[in-house]
Amino acid sequence: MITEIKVSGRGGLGAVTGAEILAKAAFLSNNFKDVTSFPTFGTERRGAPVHAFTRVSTNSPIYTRQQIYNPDILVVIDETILTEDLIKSIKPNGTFVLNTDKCAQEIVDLYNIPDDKTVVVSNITHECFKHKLVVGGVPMVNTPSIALLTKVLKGVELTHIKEAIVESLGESKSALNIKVAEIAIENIDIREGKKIGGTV
Amino acid sequence: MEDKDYPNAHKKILASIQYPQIGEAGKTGTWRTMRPLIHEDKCIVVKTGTHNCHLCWLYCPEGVVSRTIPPTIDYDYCKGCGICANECPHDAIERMEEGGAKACPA
Amino acid sequence: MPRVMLLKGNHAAAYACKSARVGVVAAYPITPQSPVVEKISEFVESGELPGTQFVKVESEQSAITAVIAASATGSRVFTASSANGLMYMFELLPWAAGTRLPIVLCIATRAVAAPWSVWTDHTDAFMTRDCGWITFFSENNQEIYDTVLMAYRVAEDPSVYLPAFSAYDGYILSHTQMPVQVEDIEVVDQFLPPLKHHINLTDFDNVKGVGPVTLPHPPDRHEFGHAPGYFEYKFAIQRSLERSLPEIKKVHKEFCEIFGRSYGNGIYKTYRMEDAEVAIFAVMSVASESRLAVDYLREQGVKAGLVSLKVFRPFPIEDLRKAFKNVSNVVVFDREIGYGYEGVLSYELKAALYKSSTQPDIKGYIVGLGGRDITYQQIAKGVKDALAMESVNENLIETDYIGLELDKLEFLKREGGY
Repeated sequence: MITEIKVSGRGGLGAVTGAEILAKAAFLSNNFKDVTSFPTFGTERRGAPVHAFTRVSTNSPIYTRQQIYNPDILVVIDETILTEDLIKSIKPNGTFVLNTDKCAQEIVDLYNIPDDKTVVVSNITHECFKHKLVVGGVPMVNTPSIALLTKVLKGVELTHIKEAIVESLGESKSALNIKVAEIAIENIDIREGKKIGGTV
Repeated sequence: MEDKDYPNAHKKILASIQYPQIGEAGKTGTWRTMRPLIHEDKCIVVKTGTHNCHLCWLYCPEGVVSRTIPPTIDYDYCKGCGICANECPHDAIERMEEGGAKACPA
Repeated sequence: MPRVMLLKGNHAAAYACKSARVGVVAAYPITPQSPVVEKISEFVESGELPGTQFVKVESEQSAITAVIAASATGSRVFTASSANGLMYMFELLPWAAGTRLPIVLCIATRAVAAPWSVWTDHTDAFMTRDCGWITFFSENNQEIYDTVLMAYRVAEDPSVYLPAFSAYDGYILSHTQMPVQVEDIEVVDQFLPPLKHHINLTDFDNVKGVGPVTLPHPPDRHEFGHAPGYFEYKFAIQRSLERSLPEIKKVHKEFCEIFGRSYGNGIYKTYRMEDAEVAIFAVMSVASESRLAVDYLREQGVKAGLVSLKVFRPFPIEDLRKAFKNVSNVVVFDREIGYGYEGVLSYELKAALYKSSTQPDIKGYIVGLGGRDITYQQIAKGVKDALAMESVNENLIETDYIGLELDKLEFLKREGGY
């Protein structure tokens, strides 16, 4: 089975690196037969909406090369890019992971999120500023956001995410990233979705 | 076939040219994570009432700071780069976190 | 021990250069090729590639000139480019083939300007068609790594001695991470022994000029007899290219035996072609996506299959005749245009099947130019539309497109242009 994950953010916040770290964690876990990870290839602009994609497959090689239009898991690392279409794009029974200062029920009410979606939130931007996980004035919300997926993506554990962070960012930078990631998971707020029938 | 519906399309799609316009990349103010705020009590332009500084206007790469007294920022298109705050010789521009922290009920 | 790593396509190519122990690398950065040479320069800087010279140049034209010169001295060389950078190399590409230098050049494909586009399509790779080079295509990152190694082996074979392109989709492969097995360098050494060069400029006892002026007829060189004329040199390139197909298959077979990975017969790959009635013909990312289209079509009762071309030059006529022997329809998806005619793959296939005993109907589509996404659903729809056409021949007159968005252009519906 292929699980499709879309990570949305803004140029400079690390959505692409986040998707890559997720792919690496899945790869290191040995729980998946194939993984791919790629960005939406724009002319890179700091602050512009950026989408990055990761596919993980438990049983077959991944042949598809198209972008992910309807993700199983949508990770939004910057609430300001949220649009109605983005939320609607999540597959039935899918999961919506958001970095926000609001709690899960508030998000459900604010954006009219259907009952079948699991909503996972944590206030990562605030923790980044608090713990100085900031580069050039920009909070590095990517690694903590990806760490939230350990709660919803079967097969990827926090140890794999940590290992992938160390491999991608090096020893020196990864300590703070891992610390904020752990805090983000502690502060997590989840609204479980009610499963609906039919094909997923 | 869509191309059959537009028999003259090839006569109208000619040289690759574009016309400049405000907001071509959308409301780029939404790209901002840090909001610049001008403190008029510290701003030399406001204090002296003359166009004697305006470095914020001069250095803004997006042209969203006005050359007025007091200077104003067009938040629809300000990307929050912070160059104005960095250039201001009187530290009159403060960068604020957009949004802010709020505890979640368990 | 071979090591499986999560690599982007560009980095897979760089690791292949490392495994191949390249001697000289010169390249100029262009999106989306840049990470190939960035990675190689990292290897050189960190001492992981002790025998490699990295030549910094000010343009693509200088890059290809530097590797041509280095190759003529007997070194294994590498360069890479994309789109307009490749166009800037163009004058030197026939020089490399004409001098019979076993250069390997990676193309991270990108749309050619104008208008500017940094996104992918296959135009640049297909534009290099008539330069006398061998052209390989890859569908995934493992194949990129493997193809670079095979390309050196083929290019350096004494019966071939020709430069080779190894093309792969910009971004879709070049910037996508996939698991790639990087082989032990000692094992690669067995597969790819050091280059034995035919020119060897460093042999100072036998001074020679490379790339001389030739005449319309073989000139009399007195004590040396008659030297070949221009025509004879070009004949030799063409004959060597034609005869390189068995060599490519042989190298591929040996590669399978050593490393355990295979790509069809080394010339083309097939997917569910055993009982197929309609075949999709495509390359690179479009071929990979088509695998899903085949499954999708079969779920709907269409007996579809895929032929994914791996070697585009020399064009494998006999192989393709065999591949399409049992199908009644072929649908070709070109991510480029042979301007003024149709998609290049489409018309080349038509020519290859000319007067063959079993000639299927061939329908070509243009897809995904300038990075527009192409999905398996669109490919499947294209196949079904082609099958629904009463006579394919009637639709040959005008090229058909999938994914055009003319509907979005308001100015088409009113007076005046944009």
